[in-house]
Amino acid sequence: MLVQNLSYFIEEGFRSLRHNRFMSVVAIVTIGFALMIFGAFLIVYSNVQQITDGWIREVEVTAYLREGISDDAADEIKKRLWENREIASVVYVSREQALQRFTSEHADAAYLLEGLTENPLPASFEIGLSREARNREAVERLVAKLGKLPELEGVQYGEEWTKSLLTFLKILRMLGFILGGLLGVAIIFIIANTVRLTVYARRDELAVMRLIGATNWFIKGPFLTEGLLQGLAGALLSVGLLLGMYHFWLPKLQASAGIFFLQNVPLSFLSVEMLLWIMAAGMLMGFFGSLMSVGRFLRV
Amino acid sequence: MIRMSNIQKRYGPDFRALKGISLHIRRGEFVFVTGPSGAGKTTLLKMIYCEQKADEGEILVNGRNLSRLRRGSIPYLRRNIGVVFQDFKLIHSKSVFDNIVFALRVIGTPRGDMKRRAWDVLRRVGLQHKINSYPLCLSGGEQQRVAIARAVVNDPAILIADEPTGNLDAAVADEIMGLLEEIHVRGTTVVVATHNMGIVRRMKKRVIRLEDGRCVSDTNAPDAFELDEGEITLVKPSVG
Ligand SMILES: Nc1ncnc2c1ncn2[C@@H]1O[C@H](COP(=O)(O)OP(=O)(O)O)[C@@H](O)[C@H]1O
Ligand SMILES: [Mg+2]
Repeated sequence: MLVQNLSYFIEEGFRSLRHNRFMSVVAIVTIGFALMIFGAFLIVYSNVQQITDGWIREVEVTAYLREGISDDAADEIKKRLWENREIASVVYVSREQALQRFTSEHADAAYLLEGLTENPLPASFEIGLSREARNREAVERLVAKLGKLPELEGVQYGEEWTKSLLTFLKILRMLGFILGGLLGVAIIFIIANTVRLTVYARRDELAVMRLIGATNWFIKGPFLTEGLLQGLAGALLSVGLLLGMYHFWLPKLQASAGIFFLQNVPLSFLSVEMLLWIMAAGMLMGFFGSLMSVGRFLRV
Repeated sequence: MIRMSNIQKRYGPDFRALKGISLHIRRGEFVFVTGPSGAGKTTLLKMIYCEQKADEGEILVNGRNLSRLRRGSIPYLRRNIGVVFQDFKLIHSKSVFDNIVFALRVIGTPRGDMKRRAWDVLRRVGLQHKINSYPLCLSGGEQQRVAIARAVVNDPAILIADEPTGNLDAAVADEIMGLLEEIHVRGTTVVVATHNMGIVRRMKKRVIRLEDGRCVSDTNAPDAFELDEGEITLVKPSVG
């Protein structure tokens, strides 16, 4: 019986879309563009996030040891560092290793060391962050903690870059919530409106259904599928528009010197998961939009 | 089957449509509700299938207390009550056949049964040759038959008909009453509201007479004398 009802609802949903062809098309196109705007935003966001993720992952904290700390003492400190959850790896770089590294990496700058009798480079720990520490707050907490150790002289990490990037991401995310919220409300409103027209046109029929023993859910069913189908069609349209933009418009945009940091960076499209989310969101909004319209007519 | 005790119904703050109705209709009875226009017949019928709720008093239908019925249960009550509405309430965009099928679909009849049952009931009311017509292309009597077919297609325990002979000429009205009688003979409890006294006289059934929202008489198979329109009857209304 459930299957029978569902197939009836879907049939009726399509029928009333066909019946209100003009309004349905207007609604679907509007929803398509609204979701496209949101999808474009998601593309920008997910790409920025991917880029910053890469950078954060590479963030390495270097802690320099004070002079005169023996290798054994350094080993002790290393063990203590290990106990921090934020720290995934600690590599001790002794003064000699530091010097070796410097001379091999900067052969052309070897003259800087000429004439020095003593090795000027401090020993250090190269600290790799664990997964959960790859965000700004955790990094800063860790850096502050390390700063308090008397054996350490200074702590370094790619502060400025990560800081501003992470702030940028945060703002972007907030914008996304606002944008998504506004577009969502708009979409629900559009669907509620078109479904309301159908409901209104058939209100006598609904009253009859109620009087001959239809449950409210049975009466609502076709309208809910109508809204659902509109939402889904709008979502599919938006994905089509986004794909078109991604393949035909973005390359041109990137080629022209227009956008600063996206230039020449390979941008990826939305993941399949994201696309599925967009469709689910479209259908859900369609469902709630029509639920809003149909409820008021079922008082008999 | 239907038991009302002291039903009161107000429309608005100071108009009382029903002023304390008590009655009892047994399973398998055929009952007329008569009275002048505006007496409250339609309102009384609407109480039975919950289109209107009583302000006071209690109604039991098929063992269910309607004042305690949850909104969600109303559809299931209605599936046991066939209603022939005064204005038919057929769906004009659907053919006769589809109107019946639709009524079956609405209550969750298995798809395989729907067509057969629609056929059967349309044959019973003598409309097998009109199944593809649309309601507005039918005569008043034919529309009434479709309305009856839809009301009984689910074999309800109770059939309610509001002015089923309202706009029909005498011959057609008699045919319709014959149909209702047939349905009654099959075991259905039938309640008919009408102000057509000629019909009431011929049918010789129990008659409940309303006037101004009150039950003024309740008589079994009365003779013509008692039923003269406008006459003040001496028969006391039975209680309960
Ligand atoms: N929905 C309503 N709102 C207000 N008044 C109503 C409504 N329905 C019926 N009435 C009034 O209640 C009285 C009884 O109506 P009704 O039950 O239709 O009588 P009958 O069917 O015997 O002609 C009438 O005076 C009518 O005007
Ligand atoms: Mg009436």
